[in-house]
Amino acid sequence: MTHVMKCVLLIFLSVFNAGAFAEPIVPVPEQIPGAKRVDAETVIEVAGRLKNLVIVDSRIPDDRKIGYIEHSISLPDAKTNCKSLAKIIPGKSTPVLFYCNGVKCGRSVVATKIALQCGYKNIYWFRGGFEEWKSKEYPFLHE
Amino acid sequence: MQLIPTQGMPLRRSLWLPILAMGVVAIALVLVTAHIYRDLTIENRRQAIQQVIQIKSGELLLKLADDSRSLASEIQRKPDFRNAVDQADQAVVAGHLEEQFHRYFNTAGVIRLRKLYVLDRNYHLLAESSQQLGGGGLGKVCVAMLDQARHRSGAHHLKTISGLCAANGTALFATLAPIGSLQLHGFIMVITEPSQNLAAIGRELGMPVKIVSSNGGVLFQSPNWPAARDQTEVIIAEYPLKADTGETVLTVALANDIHVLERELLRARNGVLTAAGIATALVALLTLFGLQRSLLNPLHRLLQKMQGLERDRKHLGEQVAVTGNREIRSLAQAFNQMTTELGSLYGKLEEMAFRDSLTGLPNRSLLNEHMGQMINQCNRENARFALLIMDLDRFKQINDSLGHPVGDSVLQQVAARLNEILRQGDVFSRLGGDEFAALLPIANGIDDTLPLVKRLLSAMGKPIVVEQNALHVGISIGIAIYPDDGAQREDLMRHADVAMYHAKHNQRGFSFYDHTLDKNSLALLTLEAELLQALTEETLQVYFQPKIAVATGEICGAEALLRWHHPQRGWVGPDEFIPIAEDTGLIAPLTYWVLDRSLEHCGDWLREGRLINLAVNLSARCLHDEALPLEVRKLLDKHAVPPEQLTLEITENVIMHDAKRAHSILVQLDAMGISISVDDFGTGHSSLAYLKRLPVDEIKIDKSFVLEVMNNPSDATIVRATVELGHNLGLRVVAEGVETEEIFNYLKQLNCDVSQGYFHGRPMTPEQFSEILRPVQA
Repeated sequence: MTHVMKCVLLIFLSVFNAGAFAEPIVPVPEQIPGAKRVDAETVIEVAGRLKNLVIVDSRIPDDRKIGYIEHSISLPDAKTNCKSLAKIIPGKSTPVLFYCNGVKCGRSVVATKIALQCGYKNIYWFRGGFEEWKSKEYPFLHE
Repeated sequence: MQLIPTQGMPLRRSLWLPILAMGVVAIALVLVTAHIYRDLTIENRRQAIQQVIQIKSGELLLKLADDSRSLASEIQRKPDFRNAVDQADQAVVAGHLEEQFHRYFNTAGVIRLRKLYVLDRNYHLLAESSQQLGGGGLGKVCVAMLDQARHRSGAHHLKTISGLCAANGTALFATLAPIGSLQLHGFIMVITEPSQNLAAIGRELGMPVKIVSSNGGVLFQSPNWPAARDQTEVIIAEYPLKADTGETVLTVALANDIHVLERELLRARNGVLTAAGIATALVALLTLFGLQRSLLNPLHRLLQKMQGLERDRKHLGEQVAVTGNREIRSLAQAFNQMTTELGSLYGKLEEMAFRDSLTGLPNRSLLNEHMGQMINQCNRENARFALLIMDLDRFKQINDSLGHPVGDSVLQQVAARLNEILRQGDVFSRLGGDEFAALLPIANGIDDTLPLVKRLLSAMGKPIVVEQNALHVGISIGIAIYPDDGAQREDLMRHADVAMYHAKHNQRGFSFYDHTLDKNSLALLTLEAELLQALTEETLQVYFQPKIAVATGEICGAEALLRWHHPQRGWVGPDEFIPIAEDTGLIAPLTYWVLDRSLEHCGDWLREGRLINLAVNLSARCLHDEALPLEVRKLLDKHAVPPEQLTLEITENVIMHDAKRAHSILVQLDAMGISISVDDFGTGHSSLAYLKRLPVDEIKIDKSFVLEVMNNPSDATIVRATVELGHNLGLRVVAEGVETEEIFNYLKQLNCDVSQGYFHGRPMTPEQFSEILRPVQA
């Protein structure tokens, strides 16, 4: 019993801590014009279908330590620009997918918008991010 | 059949019993409740432990699944493994597995690895570790789980699933993890044995644990698992863990020692029992206390009051005040009302039974009761008391002459007057008629009573005024002392009576009882009855004493005198029986009897030519008799004697005291021609002026003067003066007690008219008198 209570308490604390350590809150939109919003299942489907899909992990390296989606390339939003994008994405029409921690994380939004400005045409935005992936018990990798 | 008060149960006990029964029921309820409570508590505890098992085993299996997934991650970390899977290189994969298995089997304390499988993306077995797993190959182990996995769609194949599954009596925990993360290469199936992990529940909760497989095989058992015989003092909580198919794979049981719980329950039960006992006792006591105050005490008081009434009616009318219930109060009110009514009724009855209605004094019955009480008291305290019996003198005359209303008034006034003198504590009573009695407690000596007796006598010295008549009512008091003069009530009464008669007879006012009185007094008492008898039996006789005319020396008349020859006592003098006759009312018949007899003889002598004047004594009582003149006339006529031949003698005292009342009778008699003579003249204190107004014809000088006339000059002076006075008033003068010739001669010198005495002749029988009477002249 007490253990359960402890778990509940821990979850609460972690939620609040996450809030406390969160970046300046950028309202996360439902949609980003020009980018295709996808969920976890679509990510797997798209990855299976498009062999040249580039997955960009927009989180800071510390966040990536808890796990990452296979084949994703780490490029934090702060370092995202047309030049750094060009290094990992072969062409402007290459399918590219951005994700970060989740709905409260604005990094993938920032990165997606930069990519749009840089002229990438085939952009997928995984709005739920790593939290949705993990909660749906899809496998992920550790560094 | 008589209804006897039953040997019923007292109210108190009949109240006690239900209260006691209620107490017993309350305690039984507590016991039953405690038992139910104990069962419930134990059941709750069991359920709580079951819940804990459920949660803890869930957590532990989750951890196991996590660990299994980590293992699967670890196995596929090397890219060449993934490539081998992609290329379905069974040898490489198997080798890899073997290596990993041993590595983890040896190092991992957290999981108990049993078998590793690698499947291709279509769930076909690609390789397996070499360890044998009871129950055969992959096709037989956890089939349901694999089926479920196989039927998933799309991205769901990437999800790791795990669960319990049974295999040949052994419980296994299988985890199917995908190889690859974003792209599916195949699957790793990790088969572990969960019992060891689940056993941690016991360690964490500090309870012995036992894990049993579906077919009853013991998978794990703590060393301190209670033996079967100890299981009465433990709670065994079991929780079955199931596979996804719903089949029970294993059962986790925890043993909870309820020693402490039992002790706590027992303590709680005893506490509640004690509290219930105390509460019951308290309630019982309070109830009884309340009942005691509101019911039992008032009832007891009422009962006591009633019993008090039964013992002594004096308590009738006494009110009882009770507090308590309304019913009890109205009962008490009814009781009070009843006792008040009964009290007044009893008072009236008592008044009627024990009070004299005329004077309001206690009557003879009440006196007797008081005397009985006083006797008892005196016996206890060795004390004495005096019994006074008081009798009014001449009361009968008052009653006869003035009528009963006057007599009643006299009695009332006498009662009031005497009552005033008596002290508190004395008992004053009217015995009946003109007889009163008093009981006087004696503090010191017998002489104590004397002042009181004298006060009583002096109180009666003053006249009693009734209807403007001043009546002199004397009283005679007889005194007897308890226990000196009698130990019995009756003796005391009789002796006080004797003393009273003695006092009356001696005219001394009062007399203490003396046993020597007894004889005389008894005689006196019987005299009355005998006198009455004598009247009828003719033992009375009329004697005649000659009266001599001094001038001629011849018999001129005779005085009729009554003689009583008593058969036993012999001669009884008039001095003895006349007072009795006066007091008892016999005097009237006696007087008429004397008149009748003497007139008869007188008439005889007249017819023989022997003329004499007949003198008859009249008692004072006779002067109150209105019928006297008529009766005298009748007798004169009867015997043909002219009234002139009759002289009625009345004593000077009677004339002085009662003549006013008797005036009309005297006038009537005088008018008839009868002579009136004043007897015993000189002994009273006559007022001559008054005498002159009366129709008196003759005075008789008292013999006390005449007897000593020759020796005592003053007597001689009195005699001489009386004769002269009588003659001056025109009255005839008679001298009594003439015993010698010398006296007779002296009387001659004084010109006294008539002489009477032994010198001329003693009283004699009619026959004797007839002989000395001058014979009829031829």
